[in-house]
Amino acid sequence: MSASGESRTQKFSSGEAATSPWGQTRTGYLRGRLLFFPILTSSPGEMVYTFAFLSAPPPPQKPPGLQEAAIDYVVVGDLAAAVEPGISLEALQQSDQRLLEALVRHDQVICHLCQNQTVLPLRFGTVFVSEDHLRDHLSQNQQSYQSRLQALQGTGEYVVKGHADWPELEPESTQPSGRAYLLAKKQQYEAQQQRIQQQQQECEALVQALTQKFLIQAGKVQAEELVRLHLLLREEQRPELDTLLTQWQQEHPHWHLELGGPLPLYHFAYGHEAEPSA
Amino acid sequence: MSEPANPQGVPLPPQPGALKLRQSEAGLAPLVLTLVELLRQLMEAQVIRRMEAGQLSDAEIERAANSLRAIEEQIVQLCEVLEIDPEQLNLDLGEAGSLLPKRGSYYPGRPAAQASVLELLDRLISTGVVLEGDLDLGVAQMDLIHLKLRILLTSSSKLG
Repeated sequence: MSASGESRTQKFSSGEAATSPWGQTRTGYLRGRLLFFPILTSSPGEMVYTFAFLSAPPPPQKPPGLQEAAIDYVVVGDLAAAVEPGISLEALQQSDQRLLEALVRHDQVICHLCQNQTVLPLRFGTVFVSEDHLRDHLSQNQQSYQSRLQALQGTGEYVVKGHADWPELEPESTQPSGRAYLLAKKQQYEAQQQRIQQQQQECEALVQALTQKFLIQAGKVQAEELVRLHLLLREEQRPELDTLLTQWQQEHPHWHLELGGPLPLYHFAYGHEAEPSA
Repeated sequence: MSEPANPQGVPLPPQPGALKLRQSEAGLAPLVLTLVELLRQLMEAQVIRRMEAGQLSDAEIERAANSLRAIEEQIVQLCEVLEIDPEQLNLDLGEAGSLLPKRGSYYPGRPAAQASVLELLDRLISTGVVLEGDLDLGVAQMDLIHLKLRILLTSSSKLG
């Protein structure tokens, strides 16, 4: 299974599941990607902006790239790279708006490619100094990228996000006496500490339960999140994941879990190997 | 803002919502109330420390707690008038934490999961700290007033 364009986010509540456009999931992910921008010295005309690696022959469709012109493919042996020549990183960085647009377009290109086949996505801002450098890179990594593409065939990346929603602590202002009012502060603190401890234990239990069945990678939590996990699974494993999360949600009603995906294989594309740097 | 009066000239009690101001009219009020709440919580922390150390009589605890509670109620009432959510009386200081801790997340003398300025000040006051500095005031590149500062910040119980 390749990551399809109909990706979605699913919220696990105690009973019913809700769906929402997957734009939120992707935006949340992409925010964390804004920091990466290699500094290169070549002139923009020579540089080759690269979106992803995929198996040759590449698909006939060429989605619009960062500058609305159709992307192109550089093919070396059994590998192809989705590229857009002539991109100026300096120009992209001139305004936040432009940078954000480019970031979204980068992601759209990768999602488009994922609809048809398995791809190894590259980070936003990956640029090779020239087409020759890119060709060299592809020929040097033929075997490793091909084996990685084969291993990931039929898989998709999912993200599980969770936060706890506890009932309000009893307000101390209702206490009849002054001493009870101050002691209520202590009880609030102890109750809060107990919740934190319980949350940690439950979080560990969730990670363990998922680790036993799926390949997971911990992500950086955002805002009120307590857990963010990236999972790699095959399409036929999806019902198993849904069942596990629904059951876990029912057992822990103060938790709110959200499942997003399938997404491009951002966190699993290169296994334990380092992602290529141009 | 004048209160409404009946024909006999006797001021009437304010109508519900009559004193409410729009958020834009509240101006610096949220900031001022936040600082008042910081001072209130600092004093509350000191009361709790002394209560835990057995330094306060029952009557003193009762009196202090009632005063703190009365100030808190007044802050909440002002928030209602100014249409401010009392939960928003805080400042987010990014990675340094927040000005005030979340409800129930700090108790004097106990570890806190999240950093806050209140906790820092409470610990500084409990330990005691001396601040020293010099300040020159002037105009037209002429020093006119020289201030030599030495500030002792500590719990009053340590001075006895």
